[in-house]
Amino acid sequence: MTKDMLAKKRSRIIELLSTEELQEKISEPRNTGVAVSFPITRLLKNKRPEPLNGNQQSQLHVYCIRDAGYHEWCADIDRIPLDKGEDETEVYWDVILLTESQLLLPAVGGGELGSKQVYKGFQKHIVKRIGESLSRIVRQKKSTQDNPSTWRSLGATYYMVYLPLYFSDIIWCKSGSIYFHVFLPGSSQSVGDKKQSNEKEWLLALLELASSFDCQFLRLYLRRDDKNGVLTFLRNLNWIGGRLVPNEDRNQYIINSPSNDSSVQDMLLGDESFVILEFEC
Amino acid sequence: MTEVELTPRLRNDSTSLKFSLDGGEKITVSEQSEHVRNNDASHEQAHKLIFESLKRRIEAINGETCEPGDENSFFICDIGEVERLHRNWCEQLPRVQPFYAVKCNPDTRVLEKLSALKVNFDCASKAEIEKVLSLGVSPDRIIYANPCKASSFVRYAARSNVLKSTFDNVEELYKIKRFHPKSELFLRIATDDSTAQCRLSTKYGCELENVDKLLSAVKELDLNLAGVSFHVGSGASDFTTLYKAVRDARIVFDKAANEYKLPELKTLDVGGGFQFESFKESTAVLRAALDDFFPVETGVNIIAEPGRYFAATAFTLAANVIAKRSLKNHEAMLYINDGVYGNMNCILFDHQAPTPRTLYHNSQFHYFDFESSSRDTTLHPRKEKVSIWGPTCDGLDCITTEHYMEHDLIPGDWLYFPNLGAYTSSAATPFNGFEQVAEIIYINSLKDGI
Ligand SMILES: Cc1ncc(COP(=O)(O)O)c(C=O)c1O
Repeated sequence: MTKDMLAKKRSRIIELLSTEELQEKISEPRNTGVAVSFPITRLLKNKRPEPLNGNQQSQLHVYCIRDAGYHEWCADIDRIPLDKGEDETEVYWDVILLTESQLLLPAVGGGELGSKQVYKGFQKHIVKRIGESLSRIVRQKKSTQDNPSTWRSLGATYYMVYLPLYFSDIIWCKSGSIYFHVFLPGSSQSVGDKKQSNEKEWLLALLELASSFDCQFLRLYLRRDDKNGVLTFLRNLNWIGGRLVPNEDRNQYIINSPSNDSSVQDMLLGDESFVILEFEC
Repeated sequence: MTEVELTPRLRNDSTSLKFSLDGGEKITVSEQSEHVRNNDASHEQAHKLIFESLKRRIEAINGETCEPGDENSFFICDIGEVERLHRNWCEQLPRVQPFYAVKCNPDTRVLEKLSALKVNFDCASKAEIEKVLSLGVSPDRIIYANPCKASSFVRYAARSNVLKSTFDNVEELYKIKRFHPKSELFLRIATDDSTAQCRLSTKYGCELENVDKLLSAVKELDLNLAGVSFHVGSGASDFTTLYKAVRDARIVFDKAANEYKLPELKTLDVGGGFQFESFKESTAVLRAALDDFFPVETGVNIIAEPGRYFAATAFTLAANVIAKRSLKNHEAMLYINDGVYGNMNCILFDHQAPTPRTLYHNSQFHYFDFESSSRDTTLHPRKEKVSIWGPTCDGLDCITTEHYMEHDLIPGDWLYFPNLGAYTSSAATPFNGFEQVAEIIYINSLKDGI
């Protein structure tokens, strides 16, 4: 049930983004990737803080070779290329939900637990936490959130990255402070075995994106279901400097959490389906 | 196009090494007897001292009456071993200046020792450069060999004045032109690494047939090409690859000078992959290749990027058995207090298969029982079949799926893993402020006696 709801959202987003404008960009040979980013402050109706730089807008970025002679992410237009009449805010919420749902424990997605209530509960929880983040931003208060290096902390910016040469699915990302979290699609979503042979290229694209948002570390979440793929990947990437990050100790997390509504929702999230690597960027 | 002699000269001289040409291309070292292996008595590890240090530590821990699982694993690091390895390097490869691959083990004391021995450094990340510079090493002793450079990495190298760096594609050259145009560049060529355990070359490095593109970009961008580099991969069993790579490097040297009229290249970087066990063989092949293609008279400097050679045998890891699940008679799963997320990420990252040996069982030490375990039941029939797991209950955290142990180990016993210095503690080392998780006890067998 939860899985179905999320799958619907995902298809809707892809449909919304399949505008002619975007299609054109993707089909240009010198463009090898596109990304859409938005800071969560785009969700504020009126009290938006003054944009300080481009990264505080929603943006479409294109990974391309231009005059520089190497691939770089260029902020192409400072809005999401939606057709007129579409509600931008709704798209933002869906992207946030889809990104955060990468960490829903597998048992939550289907079966008994996957009921409509679970999904609604999860949605409410994320909306509430984003709301708290926003009011902190508006009041210019320091974040009391978890350590930004963990996936539990919400993003200040969310991203949909599309690297069609390597992955046929969207890559969901979020960043906060100096950390850029990337949830790679499952192995079935990689394009042939290109994912293996071109890992240097797609990793570089992600590192460049993260560093263009002033992040210092990229955390890559690789799905464990493809154990051999993960192992090959680890062996080949050692030299690039990836560091294996231990998974969260959920028992410890549960012991340390206060028992309230929010923490019950937090229990539905976990990182055990992933192997986590950290890279400098 | 210049003619390059591709066929290695047949040698039959006092070096006692012969090359036989097999199918016109395959070169084999024909005299590989056991006695040339490096693990001979002339280079014994300091077992007595290592054992004493292990024993002292474990007795102290036992005296502290901890519950099983409260202890940490710990390393013994013999700094004297590093120095002896360096002497051995200088004997076998007097022409080759090593740039130690910091990634392999960024232990501060090891780096300091190597620096004092005038070994230079190969860094693959910003954090590694920072660490080496913080030891007071001058940036001209660093080569930046990251094969996947984001622009920010190149900018960082420029800011830190690290000039030497490798490259293998045109885009990288454009980045370098823009952010670090004074770089001294090493064109990394691909090698045939099909026999290596860690196959990296096929991913990184430019195929010989594509070198022209790179040379013409160097020329067009007016960059400073200092030399050629390669890395044959680690754990190669066939050193033909090394010979061929030196030969290919010669082709690139000649091409750069004759076809592209670039200033004469000054340095050849022969990469890493050297292993203690096969050091005599690999270096004999390398010396022969250098004599054939880069004889001393050419004046070309030779550098290398060894990692595991300088680190593996200097470290011994001791780990405690924290739990046991008996499966059937003489078959069990042992859980120990270290694993792939701790000091044994070499299993995931580096194809290593650490050897567990019994250190402490039944109130007795068994360090010198070098046959206390075996991977093979037919060679050394052992009583106890075990799989060994790290503490995380995670399927990846497996140290060995099958080993046959002399002793029926139980929680509270200790195992040790010899030669575990390469690609082990790097994950736990100051990457972004993370400090070493394992305790390291330093000894110096050159000072304290073997
Ligand atoms: C380019 C390069 N140089 C040096 C090394 C060090 O290798 P080793 O530790 O096998 O000597 C590596 C290892 O992956 C490498 O990729």
